[in-house]
Amino acid sequence: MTLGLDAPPAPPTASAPGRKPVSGRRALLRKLVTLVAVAGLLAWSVHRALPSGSELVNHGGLALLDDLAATALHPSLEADFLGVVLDAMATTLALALLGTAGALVIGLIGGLILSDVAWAGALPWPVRVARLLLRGALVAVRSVHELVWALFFVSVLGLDPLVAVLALALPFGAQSAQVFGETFDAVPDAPLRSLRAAGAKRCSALAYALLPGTAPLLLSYSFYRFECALRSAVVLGVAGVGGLGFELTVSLQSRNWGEVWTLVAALLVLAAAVELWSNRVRSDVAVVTCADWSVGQERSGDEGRSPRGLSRSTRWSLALTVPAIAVAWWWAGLSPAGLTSARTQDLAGRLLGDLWPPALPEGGLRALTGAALDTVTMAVLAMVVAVVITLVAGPWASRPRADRRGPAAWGRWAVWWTARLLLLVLRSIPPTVWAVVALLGLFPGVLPGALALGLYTGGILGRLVAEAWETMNLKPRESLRNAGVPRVVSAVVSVGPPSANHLVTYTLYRFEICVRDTAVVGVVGAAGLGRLLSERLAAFDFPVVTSVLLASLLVSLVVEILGRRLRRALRA
Amino acid sequence: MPVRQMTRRTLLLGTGATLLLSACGGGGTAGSDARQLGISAIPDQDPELLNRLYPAVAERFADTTGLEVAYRPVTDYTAVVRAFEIGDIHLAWMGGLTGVQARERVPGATAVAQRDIDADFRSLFIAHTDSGLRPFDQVDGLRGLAGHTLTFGSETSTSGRLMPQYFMRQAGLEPGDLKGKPGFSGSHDATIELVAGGSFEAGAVNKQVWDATVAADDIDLSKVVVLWRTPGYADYHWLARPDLDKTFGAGTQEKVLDLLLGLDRQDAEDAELLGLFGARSFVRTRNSAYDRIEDVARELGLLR
Repeated sequence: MTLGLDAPPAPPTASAPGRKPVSGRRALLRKLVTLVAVAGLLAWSVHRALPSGSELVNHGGLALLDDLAATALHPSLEADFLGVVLDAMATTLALALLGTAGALVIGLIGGLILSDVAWAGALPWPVRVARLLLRGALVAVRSVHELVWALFFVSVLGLDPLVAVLALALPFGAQSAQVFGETFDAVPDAPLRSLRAAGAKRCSALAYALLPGTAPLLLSYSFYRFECALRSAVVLGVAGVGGLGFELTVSLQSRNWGEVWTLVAALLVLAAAVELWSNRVRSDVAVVTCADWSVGQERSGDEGRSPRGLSRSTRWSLALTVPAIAVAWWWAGLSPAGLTSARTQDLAGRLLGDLWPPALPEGGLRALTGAALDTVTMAVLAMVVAVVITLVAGPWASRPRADRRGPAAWGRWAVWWTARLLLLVLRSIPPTVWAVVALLGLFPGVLPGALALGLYTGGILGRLVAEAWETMNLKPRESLRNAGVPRVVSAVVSVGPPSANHLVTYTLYRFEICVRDTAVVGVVGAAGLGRLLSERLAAFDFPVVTSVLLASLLVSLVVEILGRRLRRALRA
Repeated sequence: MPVRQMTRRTLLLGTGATLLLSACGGGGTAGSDARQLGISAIPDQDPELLNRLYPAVAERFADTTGLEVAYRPVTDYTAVVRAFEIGDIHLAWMGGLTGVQARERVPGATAVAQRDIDADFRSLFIAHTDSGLRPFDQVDGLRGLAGHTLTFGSETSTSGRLMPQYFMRQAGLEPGDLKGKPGFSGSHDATIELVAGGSFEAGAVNKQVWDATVAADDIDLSKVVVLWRTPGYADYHWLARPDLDKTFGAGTQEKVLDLLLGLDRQDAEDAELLGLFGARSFVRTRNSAYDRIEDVARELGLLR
């Protein structure tokens, strides 16, 4: 999910010691160049997505959208079907839980290996080489989307719950390893060194010196991951993995809109419950909000959110984790036996043999580059949609100040609830479903994919930005106002720049993820590398599949590196 | 200190043991019995119909072989081939193209039986009446679709994509000549619905599914017109894995084949099954019957 977590950037408003001083004119120039580049990218994307002379909107399909909307108030409530829905909810929850647990195990082990503090001192060269290799492998693993992992695991393991668990655990684990490694390195290492100097064994020293300091952060991140895993577990339904995603796919295929609406409602209930719970635990254990996690930023000087000790609900959540995993294991019918069976080894060997050597698709390098450019276009346009959604809904989705009273305040709370609900709906419905809906009214291509991804990403981006706005420091505004500056001016001057900064940071970060998510809408028929991938998978053309995967990896890396540079340039 | 460490260690050990125990408990119910014969079918129609038909087929197969037979539903054509390849299913109701793909992945797999209609199967090009398209009787007439919207069925459907696209190419009509990109509805029922609803002006559909839809009065015939019926080609068939007899006992394949060939329209139970298949009887078939499909698939890049 989170692709672009790099080293924690300094809080935007704080001064950054140790950075080269940059003259004001130079900074302005940099911003101008960046703006022009972004504008150019937007123009190019629009041009590419809307080629002149070709049809985009399928007017005939709009009637089906009408059908879909008309059934919204008549969801299917048959007892049999409701049983299926409950069953599917439990399965999705169980798979998300198991996937997260697996990811955290990978993350902890990988994070310890990657962190410098755990090794203490000079590393022998074989360890350094191994770490470098591991780092590269983790980047490659997380650049492949969960859904693509699932499609591969299905070809080796069959329809086994292991498919979902592994498809979630691998990319999420690779991501967690990086975050955990950085978290370990960020805590002061004095306790660890004193313990080691006093003769403690390495493992116990690590456990006692490192874990207490980092536990709240790790816990907070783990719950954030769980939220992401729940969304992804639904997406995996397209690959035949059981649960709500699978039921949604089937109901969409038979165009049983009543059932679709029931499933969407179930999805919302589940997502809302998990997010509320996760929010509660996170606000309890750590100073970090969801928004911070997504860009690896630690907030400082935020008295309102200092750890208050664990509340009862958090303690219960923690105590129930192990039994919950056990129950999920039983419910999903997970068995590691499939991993080691002779058949699995046989099929895995065969798949790897089929994938190598890579071959170019029909149309050669040109076709591959075209698909890659389509992917980027789709992601750029999706971000445009997402930013528009954020600008429209975000300000209303920021929690109103608690100190207001009266009817106006009540109205503001009602608007807040509506905006939050809208964002929840947008992000809880998987992009695959948004794409199926978009394909009713638009011809297959970049546009429906961009729209689907944009709606989904808008739900996430809106929430991230709204949460970041909530925790913004309002002291400058108060000071200005106290100094006699008019209300509006003081608000615009003090709140404007940091708000814009949050928006830009999160937009760039989500853009990196969006590029990777294009695989998902490609699988259901939009465009880009994802479309090429699913087309070639359907033809069992594995050599071309390999080159499409390599191209995706390359695009992800380039976007990630450029995104990082851009963020730095804008911060300067 | 040592005492405290002991308790922590005990706690951790206890946690680990709980996990392990639950793993074992879960393991018992997981996975399919190796002796269970898995069957599946390409999801070419409404899941509702498939869920009425194939559990009944599984029951008949179980009766005749004395084995436990399970129908494993899937959501797309490729998934059936994949499940067949890895051995999760041993017998599958394949389309022409998916069957050829599966045989490529599983050398030695054999096409055992097809319906009476499958040796000379047809696709239909249909259109919404408002599209202005009129029926024609030569393949060249397909050129008239240029500038109109069109939807295929599933991407690897034989009657809903492969052969229609092949005939379009014969007529000199490439997908690029259509208005917008061609859609992939996923199934024949979906294609009919999309054309009848006006989402797409034209569609390529399996003739048997069309006939069944018309017979069931599920469609407003004032909205949809049949443009053209393609020449015949070989399509659907039951495909058996080469290890079927080895895994489930000699003669398993023969028993299934006998059951299929023996289905009799005079018998009420058989008639219902045949009716759901849209056939009067099942007949033997051979791998070589699908050589032409294989050539066309290679030509269109749907088979490596």
